[in-house]
Amino acid sequence: MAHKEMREPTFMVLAALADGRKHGYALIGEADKLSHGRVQLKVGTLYAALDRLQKEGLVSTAGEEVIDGRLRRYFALTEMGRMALEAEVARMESTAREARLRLRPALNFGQASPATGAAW
Amino acid sequence: MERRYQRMIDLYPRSWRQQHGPAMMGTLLDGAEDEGRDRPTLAERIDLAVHAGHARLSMIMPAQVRQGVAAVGLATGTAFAVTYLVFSGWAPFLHDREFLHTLFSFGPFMNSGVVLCAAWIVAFGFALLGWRRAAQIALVATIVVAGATLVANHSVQEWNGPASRNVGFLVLFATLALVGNPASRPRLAISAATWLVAFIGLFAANGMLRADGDRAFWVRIATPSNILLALFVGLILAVCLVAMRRPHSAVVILWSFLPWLAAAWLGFALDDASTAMFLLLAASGAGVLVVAAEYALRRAGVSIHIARESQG
Repeated sequence: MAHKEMREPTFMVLAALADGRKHGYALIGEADKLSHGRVQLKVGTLYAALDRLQKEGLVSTAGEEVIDGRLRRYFALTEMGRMALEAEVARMESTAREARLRLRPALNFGQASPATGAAW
Repeated sequence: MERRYQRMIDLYPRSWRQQHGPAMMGTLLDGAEDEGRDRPTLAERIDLAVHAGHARLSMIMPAQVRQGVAAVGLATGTAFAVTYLVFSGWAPFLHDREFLHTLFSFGPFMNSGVVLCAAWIVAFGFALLGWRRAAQIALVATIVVAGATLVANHSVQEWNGPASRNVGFLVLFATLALVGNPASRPRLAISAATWLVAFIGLFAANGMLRADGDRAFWVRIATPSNILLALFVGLILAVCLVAMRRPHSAVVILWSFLPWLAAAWLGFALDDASTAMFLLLAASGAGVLVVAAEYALRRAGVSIHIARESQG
């Protein structure tokens, strides 16, 4: 079966949970950190992704606590979620490796061209 | 502050609120406190409203159905837009193009419908590249362009605009395409190509490859009787799919008939407005009954599952 492409918020949620359980706001902060500020998950987007991931069996709830009258629900990766994340990381690494291989001849050509003075 | 967030969480369906509401509220308040805010941001409001709308849509149209409906909408709409652009809006194969100077249009085009078609093709290109958000924005742009085209049609007498039925047809397909994201890009490409071949074949079989008027498709090919015949075949196919334990595919087929039925209804309305109005009211009543029955069953905790039988 072909591997289904994972959307960025989904990948970020799974990656943020890779090193242990986290609650909603911690997940938003972790996604921000992982992407160096590029991905800023909104609460609606986060819970839509969590709802879908729970239904797909990739994420499960991992406890709750109430702090200052606010509910904090923790989420964790399931075994299936860990496997899906590993598969996605492998796919991304493979794509990046292919892209780097294609870039290499162009880089070599770019280094050689100043001597010939060719602009193209 | 909490009341403001609660009003936005209330936009979600009750079952969603029960499951995620308190945790969402906690996360929203944590974020506001961390950023030193005392009110929701505009981005938060839009994000919550959009996802609440999605959650409500999922109650009547599950994700799998939305994926299928979006794919059918995008593929059929694109194929129709390309066919219309080449054989009607632009019509480069037309021998005598001198009369074009008498039309109130622009460039080498027969009418402004080409702008709508171009926007459709851009949306399809984005979808094929996997740029979902860009494709959605382009689809919304097609709806805006369609609205502007209809306004121009009615307000400028000399303006040679596309037929309202062609514009409405593309708007309905754009609406279907916006309900979800196609699951597979190769399948989307194959589906669009299949529809394109079918449209060109139908145009060729009816001698319409050299621009035969903007309404020719509806008068010669997609006549109300032909559409009803196709619906009958579609219903049989849907029943077969349900029997084959593929209810989602059956529902996708039924949804994909919506633009065709709307076009057929408009055909009826042009001939006999009172019969068309009666049909519309009857169909709306039936639709309301189905939705109410589905809602009542859901409230009563009754759900229908069609399970695939295990093999061997």
